Amino acid sequence: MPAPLVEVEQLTRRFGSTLAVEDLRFSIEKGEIVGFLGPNGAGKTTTLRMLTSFLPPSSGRAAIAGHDVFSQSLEVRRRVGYLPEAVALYPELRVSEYLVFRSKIKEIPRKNRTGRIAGVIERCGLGQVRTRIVGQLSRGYRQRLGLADALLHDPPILILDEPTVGLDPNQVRQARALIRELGEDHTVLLSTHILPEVEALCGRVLILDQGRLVAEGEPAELKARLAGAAGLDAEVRGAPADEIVRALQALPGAAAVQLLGEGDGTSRLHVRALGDADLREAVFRQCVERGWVLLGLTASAGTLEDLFVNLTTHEPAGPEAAAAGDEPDTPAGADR
Amino acid sequence: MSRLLAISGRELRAYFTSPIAYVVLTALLVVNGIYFYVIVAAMNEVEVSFGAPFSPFFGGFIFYWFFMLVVPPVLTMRLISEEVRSGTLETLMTAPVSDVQVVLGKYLAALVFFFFLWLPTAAYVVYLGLHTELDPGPVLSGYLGTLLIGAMFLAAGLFCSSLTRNQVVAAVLGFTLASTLFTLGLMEYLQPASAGLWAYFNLHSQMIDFGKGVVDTRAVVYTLSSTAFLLFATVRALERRRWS
Repeated sequence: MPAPLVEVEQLTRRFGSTLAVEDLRFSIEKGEIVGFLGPNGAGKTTTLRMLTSFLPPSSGRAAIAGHDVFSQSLEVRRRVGYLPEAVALYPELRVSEYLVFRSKIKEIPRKNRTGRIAGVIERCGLGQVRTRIVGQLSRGYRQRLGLADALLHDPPILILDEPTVGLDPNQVRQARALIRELGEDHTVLLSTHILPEVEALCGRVLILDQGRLVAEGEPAELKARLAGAAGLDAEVRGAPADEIVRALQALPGAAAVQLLGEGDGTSRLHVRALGDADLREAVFRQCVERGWVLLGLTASAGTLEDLFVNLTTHEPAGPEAAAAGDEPDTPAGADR
Repeated sequence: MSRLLAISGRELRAYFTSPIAYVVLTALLVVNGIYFYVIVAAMNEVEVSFGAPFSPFFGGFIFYWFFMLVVPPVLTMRLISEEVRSGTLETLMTAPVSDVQVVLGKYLAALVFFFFLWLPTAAYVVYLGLHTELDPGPVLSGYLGTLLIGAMFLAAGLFCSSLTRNQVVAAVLGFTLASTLFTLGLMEYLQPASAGLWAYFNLHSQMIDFGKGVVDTRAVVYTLSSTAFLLFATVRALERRRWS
């Protein structure tokens, strides 16, 4: 059995007294697309920087294709294509000049250089801006140029740190299509806090919170784990909302009842079940007994988002606040 | 080696696309031009005695030292601090290049540019050579001394650039370090008891010797070994950044 392409054992990184990443263990096989999921500040970028040899680990070890990220750093860097979180480029160069510079420091032989550069320009859709000054590129093109650079030396593994942040919806779709395409012949490790991205792209998810790995598995498998703790959405008419909430809360097997909204004398509620109890029948009977009208009743399957919120929320209140939206508001590069 | 040269090439290009290069070049030419005029005018006076015609051009005058102390930190301030500030250091250091290649590549660019700054003054030499008898020895050793001391101050400036992400702070630190090294040598004039020791560090008198055509091995060894040490310190400082 071949060794995994990425191997991480007890990886830990401290910044002063802060523990940014703690005792991380995982491995990635060749050909996988793995999503690295976590809220801002969870340690994603720090981990990726250790995997790319930019930051040395405080303890533990990580290896890429059998090469240690610390002691065989150059070997690791030859095999990794890295797109950093904040794509930083030299503003005074033209797009094609930047790629020539990068191909030189990435040891691409002179005879292959033109071909490789033309290849990544085409693949990343940079043809139109080939002669533009890098400093004048839009955010989307800068991101593409960063990705083109990551692909330049045809590395077996791509490490992409939040590749779709700051792109408009069309660009996000294009970027995801490109990543999916790249996944066919590369191993990809992708960090994000955008859940649909993980569901759309990744064969496996690692969920990181406060520097620790809190869950790992296929997106579907993680969802299934949630299904047990699922609940149902109900729409009820015939009584004030608080009365309905109290009545449903009293049902055996109901963990919590949340009022989602009310209007026109109708209340919309979410009932979370204890364990894997099926509450549909009990809710129906309760309504009939009290003479309420049950307008709708749906068992809600758990989403990856629910799992994420469950795993990464530390205060009991306000799961909405912790749920990741599509727009991050932390400045790029602010957290490490 | 080709990676080192690629880094140098990019840095040199950055020099010529920034206004700093042209400002420094113009300032150097204006002041050296005035100074050259003063020297030539003085040579026409019978009562002023000269050794080699170019010796006052190198090291004899305060403007020479003003430029030698100010120009190198201005040339080097950006080299590492700007990569740290803008985040390009991450892209650079995750490519398969070693810290030594990065430091030497950047240093080479600064050295080449510094040499380029002095190149136009060769016109004075040619011009003077047409009108008077000129011994090439002192002129060449004058340029050699300038390059050696420049190399040392550039290394000092590069080291300071690796300590901070702020270019202005890097320039001020670089100027302070170069001035300290320069002033250290002046102790020769102030401490007669230990003058022999301080003479090893006296860039001022060493440069005057270079201008006269004297190439003193001690001066060559001092400047080259200081340069090597400062570059080594820069590599270590760059490594250290990643530990913090």
